[in-house]
Amino acid sequence: MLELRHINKYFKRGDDEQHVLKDISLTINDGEFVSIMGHSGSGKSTLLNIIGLLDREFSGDYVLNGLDTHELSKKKFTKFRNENVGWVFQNFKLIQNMTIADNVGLPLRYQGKSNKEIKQTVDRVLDEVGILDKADAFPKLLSGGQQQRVAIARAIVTSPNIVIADEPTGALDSSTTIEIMNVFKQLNAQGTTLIIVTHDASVGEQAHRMIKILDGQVMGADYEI
Amino acid sequence: MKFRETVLTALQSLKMNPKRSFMTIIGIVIGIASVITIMAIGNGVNKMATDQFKTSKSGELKAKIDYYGYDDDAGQKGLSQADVSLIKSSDIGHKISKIELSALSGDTGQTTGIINDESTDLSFTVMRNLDNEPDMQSGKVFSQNDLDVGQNKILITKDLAKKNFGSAENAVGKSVTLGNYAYTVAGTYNENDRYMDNVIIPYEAFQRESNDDGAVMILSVKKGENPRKVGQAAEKMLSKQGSSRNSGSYSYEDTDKMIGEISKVLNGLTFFVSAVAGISLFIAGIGVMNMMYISVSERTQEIGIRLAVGATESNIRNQFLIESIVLTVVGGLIGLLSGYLIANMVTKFIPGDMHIKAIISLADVVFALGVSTLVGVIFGWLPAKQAADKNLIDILR
Repeated sequence: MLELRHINKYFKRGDDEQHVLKDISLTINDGEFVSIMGHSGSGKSTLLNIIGLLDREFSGDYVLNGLDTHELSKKKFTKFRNENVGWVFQNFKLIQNMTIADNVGLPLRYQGKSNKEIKQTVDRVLDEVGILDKADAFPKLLSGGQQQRVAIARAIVTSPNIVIADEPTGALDSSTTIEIMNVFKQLNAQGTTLIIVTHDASVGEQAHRMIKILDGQVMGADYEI
Repeated sequence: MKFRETVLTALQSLKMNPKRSFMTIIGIVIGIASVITIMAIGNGVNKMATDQFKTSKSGELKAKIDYYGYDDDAGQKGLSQADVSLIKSSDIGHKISKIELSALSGDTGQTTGIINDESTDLSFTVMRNLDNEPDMQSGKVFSQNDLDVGQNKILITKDLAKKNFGSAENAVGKSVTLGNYAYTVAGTYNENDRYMDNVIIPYEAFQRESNDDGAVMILSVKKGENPRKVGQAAEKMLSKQGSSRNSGSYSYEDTDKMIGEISKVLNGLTFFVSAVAGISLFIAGIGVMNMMYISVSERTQEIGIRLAVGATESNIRNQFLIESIVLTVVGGLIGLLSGYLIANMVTKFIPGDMHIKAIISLADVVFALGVSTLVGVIFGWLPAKQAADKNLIDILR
């Protein structure tokens, strides 16, 4: 379970101070599929960075799995993210000079796992997202849909209980979007908490719950779909 | 992330830009190679110096005294049995186990000979092997067998042949007496830089000549005595009382002094080369730094991805630092190897009969690796720190 309490975030631009997130409080339970929607500039990506443990410069409390994230040292914070959160980015963010298997295995490398263990886990997750045959290929030889499957595989390789996706279908055509959303739904069906940021309503509506953000505030009550 | 993985990652990314990586390490190679060259030669000189004092198996050391006549009065050897007795009965006599006389100074000597019943002074060269054949005019040079058994055969110069036998061809087969033995003329030759003397005989044949007198005195100094002091004392004594003191001079051949002079030159050279190498390494280091900065900015995305999937800042810093160290250590190893090869080549051109060999010691290897690692750390630190300090959110935006 993750719980945000009175989150405020300011950006400084020269002398100006911009209030990006305004007193946001929300709770997401384990196994939920939540979409966060909003216009560009609404602060939804900033909120996602906080939820996904990339950003820890904010005021307010963020309790994830019963742990106050402010209490973690910088090094422990990184480890905590590595173990609890899987990130899927808009434009895949794969390292071009590494094979698919190496890309997917990278989070495990930083956990200090053995080669054998890494290979086993990587093969399993690649099989799960249906691209085991591409394990030794390089990212540039893959289609957009395939690359996003690799990114999802990398996000779930550490078996996190939360997967966070920032505009995961933003760079994909509509039929590939359906494919990828099916992969996400399957993941969620297996019990992974799923949080997706999107501005595509057809994608957002596939979630169980939608949170709308406008000008750094949660709009009204979030509602079940 | 394990250390091994970090090194492999570093190698992988260096391989992405092989030309750039190679260009960057050239400076390191030059710096390390020049220092290793001079050190390998220095080691060789030291080794030779110590070897010189180990020639005798029984632990005896040798001192050598040469006699030089004032006029070019060939045949005058300068050192006789009288001189040997003089030294043996003197107060340094008990420090010496054996005194030998030799007509040879290096490979040449002088003695009296008889050609066509006429007594004449002759200078001669001894031939030890067939590596340096003289420039033959007529007849044939010695065979290997002649050299091995010391056949009484002789080669004479074209001029000597013309003077005594009319022509070069006539001389072949005639008899010439040198010292106490008669030799058959096998051929005639033209003088050159290597063979400047009147005649050439096999070294083994010369060995049969009596050594009652000679131009060189070799003192075998007993264990525990200083050969230098004994040699200098003998030289002094001979200059005062030697049998030929009025027609020539005696001189102790001080190998120590020679080595000392080589060392002096070498020390000067080492200083100069070290300065050049230091500048070279500094500039190379700046090259490495420049390349690492470019690499860091080119791979901003990669850094962001690594940080996002669980790399700590020190993981990133170590990755780039190790990349820089791998680069410079590879340069250091290439420098070590080329330094050794260059030193080997250079020693071949050192004049004289010194037999210096280039030697690489463990200390040199440690030095090369240590310095190149240090350059990698010093000049890779700032770029690596910049990589580690990148803001994750900014990169991924």
